[in-house]
Amino acid sequence: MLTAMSSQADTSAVEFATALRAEAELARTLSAIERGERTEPGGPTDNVIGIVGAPGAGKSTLIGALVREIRRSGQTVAVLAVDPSSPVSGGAFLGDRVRMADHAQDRGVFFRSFAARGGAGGLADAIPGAVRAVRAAGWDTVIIEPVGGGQADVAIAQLVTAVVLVLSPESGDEMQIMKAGILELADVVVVNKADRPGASQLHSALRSRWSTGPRRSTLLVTASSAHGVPELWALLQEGGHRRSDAAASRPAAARPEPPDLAALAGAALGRVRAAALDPQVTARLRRQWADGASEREMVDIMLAEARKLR
Amino acid sequence: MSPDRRPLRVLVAKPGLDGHDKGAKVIAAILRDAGCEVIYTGLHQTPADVARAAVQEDVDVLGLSFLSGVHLALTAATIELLRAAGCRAVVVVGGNIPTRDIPALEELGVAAVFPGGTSYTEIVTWFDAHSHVIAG
Repeated sequence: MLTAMSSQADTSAVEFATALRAEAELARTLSAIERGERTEPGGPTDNVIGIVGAPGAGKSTLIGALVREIRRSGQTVAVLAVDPSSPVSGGAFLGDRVRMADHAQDRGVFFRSFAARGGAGGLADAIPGAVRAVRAAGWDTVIIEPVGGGQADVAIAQLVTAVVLVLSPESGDEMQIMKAGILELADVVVVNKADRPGASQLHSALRSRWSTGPRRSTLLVTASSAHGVPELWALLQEGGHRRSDAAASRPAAARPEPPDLAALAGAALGRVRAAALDPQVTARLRRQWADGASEREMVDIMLAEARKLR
Repeated sequence: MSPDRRPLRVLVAKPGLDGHDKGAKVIAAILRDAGCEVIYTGLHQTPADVARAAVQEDVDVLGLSFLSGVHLALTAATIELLRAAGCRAVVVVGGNIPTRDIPALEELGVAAVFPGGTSYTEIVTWFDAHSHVIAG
């Protein structure tokens, strides 16, 4: 009996160890990056979401709910959470795992806590390398939670494909929203704790601010009950978060000389010609003409058909 | 903790069903003030939860807090999973630990036991004395 029990325990320990081998290797890589013993030059840098906001706005709770939604969509996710280091002792209290308890045994969720160790912009110096290491290890999406800061934590925008700013009805009145800073860099603004008084007023104040500048998506969310979280993940997945000025505000990768534009235009015309002279399209154009379509409308149809060609 | 060494990473965990984490939080705070980076995971953790958190966080020290009398069984289970996963973290135990159980915990590979009544100074002194060995 005793032998049977202990061999059963051994088996589960072996299974556990096998499942965790890749995680343990990634964890040691992250430690080496943190100690400055290793840099991570390669690795994809897409699918990285930054969740920013003041302490108490509900970032960790939102991340817990967003992770559940990401897992439901079939993707794996790694969370890198940064908390402040004490300027006095150098120590830190890293408490963001507490809100991740539901995912403790989900093999599709990796979580790592970082102390800021004096890093700028609410991040630890190790975070850029850590993001590349995590993506290179095969995790589909990375969520970064910087130190709960305020209006000036803009460093994260250089590192992520989407910045989600979390506000709560306690975040302050319209005067705070008028101020410059992180609000301008956010791709999506979440008004969390939407069940509390003042949430819809804050939501309206944000929407009226967008009326005079580039639009941001603004969502009412109650992270603790996951209300509005599926909509947030759908928005992030569609890339609906991408700002119109995103390309301008981020340094573009160096590219070779532009191609010969005249030759390119020739290729475009060739594609339109091929689409328009397709027998099915030709028949459709004749029917449209008989039904009273203008020449301009027929050109539009040709362009639309050309767009479908691969 | 001497400033030229990197901060020790410590996971403070509450395995089992007891709902009292005041002691664990106090320990987390004094270790933070002593210069450690302390990760806290909350209540009601299984040995597998604790071991996986220790692996992901690549901690130097794992501190287990028990008040409910399950320290022998859950420390054994946690250490087994931890070692199977190749995690070399030093394990320490604190809380309501009867003196007669300390040898059994040490037998399981626990490096230090801090039963109720241990002073903050004793704990910080232990971490200070061992940090150069632990951090390598």
